[in-house]
Amino acid sequence: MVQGLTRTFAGKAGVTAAVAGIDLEIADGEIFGLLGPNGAGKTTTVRMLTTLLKPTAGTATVAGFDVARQPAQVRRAIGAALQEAAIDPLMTGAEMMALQGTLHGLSRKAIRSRTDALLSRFGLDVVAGSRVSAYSGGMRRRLDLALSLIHEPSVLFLDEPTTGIDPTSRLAVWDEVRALRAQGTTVLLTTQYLEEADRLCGRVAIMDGGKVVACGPAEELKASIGVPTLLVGVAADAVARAQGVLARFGDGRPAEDGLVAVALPGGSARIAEVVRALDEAGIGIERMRLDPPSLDDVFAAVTGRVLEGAA
Amino acid sequence: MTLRMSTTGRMSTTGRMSTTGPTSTTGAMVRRSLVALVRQPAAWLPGVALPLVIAAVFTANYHSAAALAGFPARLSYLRYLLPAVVMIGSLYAGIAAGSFVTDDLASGFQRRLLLTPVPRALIVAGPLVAAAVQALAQGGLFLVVFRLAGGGWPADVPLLLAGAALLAVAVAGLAIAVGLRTGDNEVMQSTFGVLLIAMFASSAFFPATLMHGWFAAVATRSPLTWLADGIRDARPVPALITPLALAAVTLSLTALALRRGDAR
Repeated sequence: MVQGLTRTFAGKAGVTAAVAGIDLEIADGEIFGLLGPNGAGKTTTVRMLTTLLKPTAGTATVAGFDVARQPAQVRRAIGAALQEAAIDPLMTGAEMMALQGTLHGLSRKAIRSRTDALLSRFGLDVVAGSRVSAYSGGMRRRLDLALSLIHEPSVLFLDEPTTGIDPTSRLAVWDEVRALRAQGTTVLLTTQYLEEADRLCGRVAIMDGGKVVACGPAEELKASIGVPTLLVGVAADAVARAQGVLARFGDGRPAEDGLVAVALPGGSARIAEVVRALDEAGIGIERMRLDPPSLDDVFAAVTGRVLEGAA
Repeated sequence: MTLRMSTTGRMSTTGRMSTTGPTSTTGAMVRRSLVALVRQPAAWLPGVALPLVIAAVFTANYHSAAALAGFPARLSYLRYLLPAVVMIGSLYAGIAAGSFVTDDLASGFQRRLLLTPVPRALIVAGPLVAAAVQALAQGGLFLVVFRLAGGGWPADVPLLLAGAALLAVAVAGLAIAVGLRTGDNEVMQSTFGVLLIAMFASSAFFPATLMHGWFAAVATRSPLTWLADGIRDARPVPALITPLALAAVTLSLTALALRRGDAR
């Protein structure tokens, strides 16, 4: 149980609340996504839940243990792969696995079998004897994830596990997260990638400004917005006029440069009507797309901004 | 406001907590530090080279100081210098331990260590023991080099090595505390300069009895003088108690730094 989880930092500009009260409940075996832009408070939340950072106020219970009062028990039960791979470049992959296993109290036999299994699973068995300094960025992230799994944690924290890695490594991480779900491991995943949250997480919480602004199953959240987004590409000098025409059909939505976006009640049934209106206004259409409601729409609806990484 | 996660605390099937304990975790941390030391020559090479260069330069230029009235009659200048050379090696070993910790902070590896259930004190046990081992190895090498250079053996070899190892632990405690507090390797490294100045303001290179004024006052009150003279005169109390007391102070600072800081 957690009550009033808050973390503030004192700086030159005064006291800032990085996490200003979140209210979540995550079930055993669930894959839960924390979604939000940089500075939303996702990482601070994870650092508190993994005992790396003391909460300023409130309490949190992870795997049945209080993060502030029983940090050793929490650390015994959890695994964590945080934003940047936490590895020692002077050691080999196999040596790091052995050290990690020893520090978690595993027997030598268990360390050997888990190391072999995990390095093989992550495609690192051929480089197990090489120093980590020779690994690519994707290999380091995969090793980081393997390290966090050696003691078979009941709760796994993944803080932006695929940021900055190649597509192959990203797919490997996704596969592993799905496998963990099948094993009943609880996973808390933070990400800036909507697709990642959509594909992996049963439920998501959207954070902004240190607060949870929306929470629930991804499909429910999207359904709550309920209206697809029409994106129309027009010439740069016609954007303002196009916005005026489209405003007749629904509320404007944030969009990338060169596109005008509008929530379109009725969806595809009203596209012809929109095309006619733009034509009558003398606005040429360069391209057009109708997107079903997405988590980005949810984010935009509750914050009025586009989520980074949404494009 | 409620956050509840996976309250069952499922046990793993890997047999953890069955065969390993504090001894093996400490051993693993020490082994890691020693392996890293061996794989990183830049961490120990200066600690071997600089003291020997200082010994060569000082002996070549100041060997006649041994003829001064008040200089210990039984010692050549080279032999007089041996504790100083060993102590500079210990300073280097201690600073190398501090570098080890700041490197871990920079690479994020310390965060991984903090995410394991081992006590935080164990995280610095490896670098501390590695510093002592490095000081012992360097001390042994210096003894052989001095012997070959005609400096003979000190009065009490085990006492010299023990003093060197304890001083390395004391310096490592300070370097690690500074590293943990600042997270800045350059700031941590700067403590070596301060300690080297303290070495010069002691009887490490010249007897305090030959100094004058404030310099003599400082030197006679310096713990480094007590340590150097204790090793030279084979007096266990100053040779061991001094670095032990220093280590007690600096390790307290390390413990404080570990306890105070949230992980970076």
